[in-house]
Amino acid sequence: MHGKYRKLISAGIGIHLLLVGLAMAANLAPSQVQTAVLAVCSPYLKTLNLELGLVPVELTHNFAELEGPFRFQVQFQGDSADRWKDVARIFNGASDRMRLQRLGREIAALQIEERDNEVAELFSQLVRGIRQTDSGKEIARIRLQREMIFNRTDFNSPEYETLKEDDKMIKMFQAKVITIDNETSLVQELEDRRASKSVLPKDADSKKQ
Amino acid sequence: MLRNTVADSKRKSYATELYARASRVWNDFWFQESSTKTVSLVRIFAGFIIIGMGVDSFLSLPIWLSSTGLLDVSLTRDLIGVKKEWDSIFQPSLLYFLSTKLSIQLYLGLMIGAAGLMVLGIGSRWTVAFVYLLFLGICHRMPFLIGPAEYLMCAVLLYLVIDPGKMLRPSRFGLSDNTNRFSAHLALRLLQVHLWLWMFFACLSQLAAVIWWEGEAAWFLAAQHKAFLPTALLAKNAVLVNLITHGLILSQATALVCLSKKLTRPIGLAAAMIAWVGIGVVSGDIYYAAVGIVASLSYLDLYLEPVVQ
Repeated sequence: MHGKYRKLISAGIGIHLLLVGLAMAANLAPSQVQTAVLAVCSPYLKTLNLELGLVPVELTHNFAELEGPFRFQVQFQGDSADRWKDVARIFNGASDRMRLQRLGREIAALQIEERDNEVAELFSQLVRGIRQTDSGKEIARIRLQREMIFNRTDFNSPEYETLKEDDKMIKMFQAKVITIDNETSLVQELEDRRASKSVLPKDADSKKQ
Repeated sequence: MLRNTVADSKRKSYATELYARASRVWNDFWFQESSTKTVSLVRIFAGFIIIGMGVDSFLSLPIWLSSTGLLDVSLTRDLIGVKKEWDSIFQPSLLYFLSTKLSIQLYLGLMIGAAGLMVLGIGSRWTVAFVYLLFLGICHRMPFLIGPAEYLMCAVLLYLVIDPGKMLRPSRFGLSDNTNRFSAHLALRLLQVHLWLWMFFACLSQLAAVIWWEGEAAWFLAAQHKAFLPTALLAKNAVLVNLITHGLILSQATALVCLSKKLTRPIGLAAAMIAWVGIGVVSGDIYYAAVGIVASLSYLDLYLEPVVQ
């Protein structure tokens, strides 16, 4: 190969791999310098989908707030108040279950950033999406819960056996679905963002009511 | 005076020697001819994975992306922080303009068809480039819903555009046709280095978390319902949990070390395969494991000629 082309290709390879390495190095916890350099290079990296963002290549850090598992659930009109159906069972594809987990992660991140309008909009659109799956019933309520992860010792303890399903969940969002003239709106219920298991003694709860 | 001159000349000769040797190593590494068989193999399997992903998404993707679906265009733009139309120029996607269920399914059908041609090697790099564009379109349309599999697949496709190998022939899957090309070597080398960097940073990120050192990561992934491992079995068996977790780190580290040298490359390749299968089992992300295995095939230089150091 001609030396001139070789030099050009070498420069291209060097710059490309430098940026790829930088994007990967900035994946978990980017420094200010990395963020600034990435911002300049993002047209190249974003266009080729090489900028990783916060993609969890580490698989887990046991950072449950963002790792889940998340459970999107709906309650249909006419169903009893304690009967919820997992949205993951309504969707069919294997990729959908993974996408729902990633959506849960996105919502958790939005809640941390207090972007409540986007969270509400996401749930409105989720309701519309579920309607497309021909579940045949009108949705009455929708919620997102995060399952608590216990370490092995706690999981094996006798107390774990006594926990109810709801005690293992942290409610992140819950809303009533109201549809008027094909327009869907959500009325957020008060309990969201609080552990579903009340931290108050029973009598305190009743006083509050 | 004389001493200074001698020192100067030594310094110059050292710099010249360093430059000459670095140039030689660089040129030997990047600028050789290699057989097209390995890139062909990578292309064929990458094509099959794209077909799998496309078929898996065929029924469900419209529910996510249609105008009445979960992620309409304006919401997606809000979520990814695109404030102006112009900003999205760097994340272009035809899917931003497709709003009906049928059009999205046609898009996926086109991608599946093109991936089929890619497997056969018809259309050479133009077909691979087309598949890459369509696949990029999906990634750009819902960037926060894609995972490591899609990112790694984008890299694989990018390098396959440089040289996708030769067309599939009935005899021995076309892999008997031995042609040496400079572009095949460049594509393989880029994929090898990219994969090495990926595994290196993934391994480092894992080791940034205490649970990987404690050996409990496999348990937490199983408890998150991600792993293809029975939670009840792991809960009672600390040794098994520790072995899986440490084994995963060890296989990745072994792969990273051994893949770097020609002599130890078979060991490295075996370790990489174990690592990717392990990652698939504990993370539950089959596509990620599959793309990792396919990318690792770039190290399969059984057919490479001349021998690469």
